[in-house]
Amino acid sequence: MGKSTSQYVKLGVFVILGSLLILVMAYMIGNEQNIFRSTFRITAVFSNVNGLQKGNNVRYSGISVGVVKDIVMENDTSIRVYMRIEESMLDHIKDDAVAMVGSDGLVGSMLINILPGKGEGNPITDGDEIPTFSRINTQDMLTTLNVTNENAALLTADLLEVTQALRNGSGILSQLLYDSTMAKDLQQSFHNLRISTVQSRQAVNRLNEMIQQWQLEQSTLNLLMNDPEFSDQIRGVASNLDSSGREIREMTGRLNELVGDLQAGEGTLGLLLKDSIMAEEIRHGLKHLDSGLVKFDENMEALQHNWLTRGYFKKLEREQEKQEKKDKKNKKD
Amino acid sequence: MNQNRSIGELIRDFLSETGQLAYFAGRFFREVVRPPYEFREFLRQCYQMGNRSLVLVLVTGFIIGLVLTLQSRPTLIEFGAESWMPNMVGISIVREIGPVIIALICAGRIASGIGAELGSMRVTEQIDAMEVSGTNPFNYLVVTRVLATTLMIPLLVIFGDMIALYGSALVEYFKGGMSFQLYFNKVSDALAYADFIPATIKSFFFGFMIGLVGCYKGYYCQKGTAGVGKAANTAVVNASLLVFFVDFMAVFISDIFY
Repeated sequence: MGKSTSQYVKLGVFVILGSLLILVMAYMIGNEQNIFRSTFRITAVFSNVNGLQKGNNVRYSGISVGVVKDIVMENDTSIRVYMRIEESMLDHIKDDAVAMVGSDGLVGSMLINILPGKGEGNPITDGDEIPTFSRINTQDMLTTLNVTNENAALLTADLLEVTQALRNGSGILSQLLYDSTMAKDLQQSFHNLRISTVQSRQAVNRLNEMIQQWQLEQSTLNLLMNDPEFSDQIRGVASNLDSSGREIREMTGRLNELVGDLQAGEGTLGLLLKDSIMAEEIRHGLKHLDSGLVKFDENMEALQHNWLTRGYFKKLEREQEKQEKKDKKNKKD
Repeated sequence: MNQNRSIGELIRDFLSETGQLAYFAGRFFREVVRPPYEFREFLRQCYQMGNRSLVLVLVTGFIIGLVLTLQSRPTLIEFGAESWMPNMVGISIVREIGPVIIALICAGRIASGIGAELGSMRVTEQIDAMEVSGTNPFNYLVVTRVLATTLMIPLLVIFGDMIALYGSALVEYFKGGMSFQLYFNKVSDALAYADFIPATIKSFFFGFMIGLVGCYKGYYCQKGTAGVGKAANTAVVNASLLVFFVDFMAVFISDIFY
């Protein structure tokens, strides 16, 4: 009896454990499909679901939040997908979230990705329809890849040509790569450049110091640059210069007019300059005057020798001599 | 002595055997609802078939999970799909390998045991004695055993599945560095009720077939010591064949529904 009781206990443990395992496994599977959680339903309309099936996962920002419950063909171009989503996601999914058919890895099963909107929408409610986005399918992707491959082949061929030209050619790039002399020259140039940079930096520093000194000291330059009174004076001088210039211009204009008149031969001076007959007459007159003066000299000489006027001239000579002596005396003192 | 039989005779024998087995099953369904209910004998049989087979099932299941994972790893790594190991192993064990392998092991252990036990009772005329004494031997011997196998095999299968998954997770943990939590998350992610429910239902049928064939072969055992051996032997062979047949039917039917 004792033996059979222990057998029953062992059997009981075995059965209970087995049943528990069945329940655990059923729960694990059901948990993944949100069977034991409170859920709500949303829908989305696609034009192509790319092999999506009932039971496929629904992910929101990469987190598994539900499953596809049903896929119904609405008309010839639109397919309505019903999704069952965990109720805890109600607050997080907004009605501007976008549903997209994707796949779990490159060869994985299909799923629906719900991407959050800009966060401005209202929280989603049971039975809402969310907008969708039709992603590029694999076939389109492969077609694009094919074009890309062809382009890549062309690019590679071109690159090969360029590389060969570089290797065999004598252009500047080839020399850069393969000519050691040029490399040394370049190295030297860079060295010199570095020295120049250091020197120019020093020069700039010195210039800075100088400028600082100018700014600090009460030099003329500083006065010129920083004294507002001086600048007013300068401004006054400049305005005077301006008015003087204007007057000079007026005067020059007037002179021009005068010269014009002279050239035109108006007035006495103009006549003198331009009238040849008058000039001839004047020359003639002067000639007469010259001969008249010679004769006047002769008359004066004759007058000095005349007894009536000789005394007057001698008196003049004596006074002249006195004056010369006085001048010499003054010079000696 | 059977070498001279023609194909026609073989077919006739096969059909006759199938018919007798169907009749035996019909009798079981009639007797199972008819008192007296041999409850204590049923529990004793459950213990004999369930508890006594557990260690064998656990060891086999663990090795199956271990070996399956070790053998599949290089191929999956070659495809860069190592992370799909839990999905692949989980689905193959729960859907197919677990129930079938464990049913075959139980066919070997339980069906042969029942066949030999009932066969020797038949040979030693204990069954006849029971009939004479007014006890219903069918109710006492057959119904309790078939019921016990029908209920115990699914439990053994679930134990086997779990230990096989554990063995597989162990390999992934040591070879691939995948944590146990991630492994079982991936397994439960990959599995659906469409995998688990048909597999559990067919385990009941496996158990029923193992018990039924074992009892049938033992109950109608031919006279003599050789008869007992033959009963045990044919019980194992026929039970194994029926396991595969039921498996095929189950896959066929579950494909229609899921």
